Amino acid sequence: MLNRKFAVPLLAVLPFVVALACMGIGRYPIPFVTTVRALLSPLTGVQVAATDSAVLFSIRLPRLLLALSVGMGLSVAGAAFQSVFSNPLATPDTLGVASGASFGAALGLILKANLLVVQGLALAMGILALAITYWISRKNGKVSIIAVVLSGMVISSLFQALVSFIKVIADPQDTLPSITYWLMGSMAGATYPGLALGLPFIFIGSLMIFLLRWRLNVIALSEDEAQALGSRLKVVRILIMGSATLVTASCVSMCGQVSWIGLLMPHVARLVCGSDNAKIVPVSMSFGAVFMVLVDTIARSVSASEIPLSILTAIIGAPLFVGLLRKMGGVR
Amino acid sequence: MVFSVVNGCFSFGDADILSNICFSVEPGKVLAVLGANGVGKTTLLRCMMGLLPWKEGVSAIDGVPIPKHATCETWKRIGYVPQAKDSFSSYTVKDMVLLGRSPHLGLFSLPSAQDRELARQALRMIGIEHLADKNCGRISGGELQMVLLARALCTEPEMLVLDEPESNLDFKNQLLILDAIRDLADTKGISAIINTHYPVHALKIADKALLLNQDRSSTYGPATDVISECNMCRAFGVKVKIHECDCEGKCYKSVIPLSVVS
Repeated sequence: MLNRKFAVPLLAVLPFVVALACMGIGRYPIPFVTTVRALLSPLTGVQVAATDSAVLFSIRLPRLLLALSVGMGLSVAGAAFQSVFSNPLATPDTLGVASGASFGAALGLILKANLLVVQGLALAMGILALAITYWISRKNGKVSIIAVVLSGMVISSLFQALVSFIKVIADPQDTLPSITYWLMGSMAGATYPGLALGLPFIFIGSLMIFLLRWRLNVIALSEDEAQALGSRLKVVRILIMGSATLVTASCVSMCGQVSWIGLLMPHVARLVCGSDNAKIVPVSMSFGAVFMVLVDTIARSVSASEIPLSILTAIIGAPLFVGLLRKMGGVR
Repeated sequence: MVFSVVNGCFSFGDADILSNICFSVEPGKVLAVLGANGVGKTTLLRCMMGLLPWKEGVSAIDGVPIPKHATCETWKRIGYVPQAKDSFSSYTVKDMVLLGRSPHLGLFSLPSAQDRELARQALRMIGIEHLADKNCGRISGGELQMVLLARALCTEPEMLVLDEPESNLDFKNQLLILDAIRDLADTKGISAIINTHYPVHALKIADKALLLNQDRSSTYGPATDVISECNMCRAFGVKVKIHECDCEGKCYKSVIPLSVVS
């Protein structure tokens, strides 16, 4: 492990460096030097080409900001859920939170509600999905790994069915294409007003989990142990699950369901820095942001039409999930 | 502190598990809880610490009742050592022991350098410093039990509650953990309540004993009085012979099971 003094600033700066490097890449390539000069132009007053400036400021910058936040948010939510459920397979996707939030957001889209309402519906349905999963998998105060995975699957498919139902009744000319495309995950719709509405929720939720990062170690223990360590179990659980759901719902309502990243990043972090959640949380945040920026850059630049994000993350994520499941020696 | 339970009763649905439990533990004293499988030893520990609500009766610290759901203040004074078999986390030993500082820390705070030092001291006290950087999932059951004891000590409690701490241990480790409990009581005044399957262990380290009988009654008193041939027969349905022998100038007692009483 790197020296702590170097690790902290490195983790903080890394996502922004990667984002800066990716900013020039795309169907309209811009050299790195020009990118930096254009980005600094509002401060320095240097003249830059109008096209460069338009591409960078009104298309790529908001999109990268969204990718950074969503990557960070989904990863930290994944780390939080894994700890609350003491379950390496618990993530926004496997718990049904993401599907629930998708349904809420789709409902908002079909009602042609404004973004704030879409966010609110996504959040409400995400919480509902989590509550049902939690309620099914909990028996006599104990939550088993297999029960969480199974009930998460059930709730997930239930809400996916509801989303399909919305697609059936959606207007095929107008709302259906937007719902379909949005469901597969895309950062293409990023706009500054949209970001202004969604990002604060992602940041508040992530900050809450970040502040509680050492507590995650305590609540990952068995219920009696956690309580005997004086952790105000209920308060901490509600705070963490609420924050993680808030983050997931905001991400989903802004860019659709980007799957797998919430599972992937905490495990990568664990490989790098061990099992201490006080380290896993910041490391997942940083890695998640970097990963999302890279995936989004691939999504928008390898072919003429965009590749939905979930296709890319699933190609990387599915084999890893299988690997994890096998490494655990079956589900307990 | 003086920990006491007055008239503790508990039942799962209609089935009475514990009834009219009374005892108290003074500083530096060790209480052993004995009883057959399924008679409610672990339930008793959970109830008295407030992890399960008593149906009737109360637990009290220095005469002040513990609230229904025990708070941080309680957990600063009581250190709980669960059975090692339930834990399968992958923290390092160092991090695991550090979790013992949790009751002293605010919701959003991280452990300080001083907390880390206390964790190191707890490891030293139990004599397992060499395990500090090992992974909790990769050490033996006996070592993990020691780690959990160190974690409880890291809280700096006034009383320890141990659930069958020696059950998964080999001969030597059993002796180590029992001696550690007695030593903590004698030198630091940390009292202990310990669940055990071994009457001999109770005789070895306990000042008092609480025997849970199968008819839901209980016998409480000085360990040497409670663990008698007659009481053992009543609680376990086993005919025993209590044998004394002098070794190296000290009197040791052993409990020899003879036959099952039908």
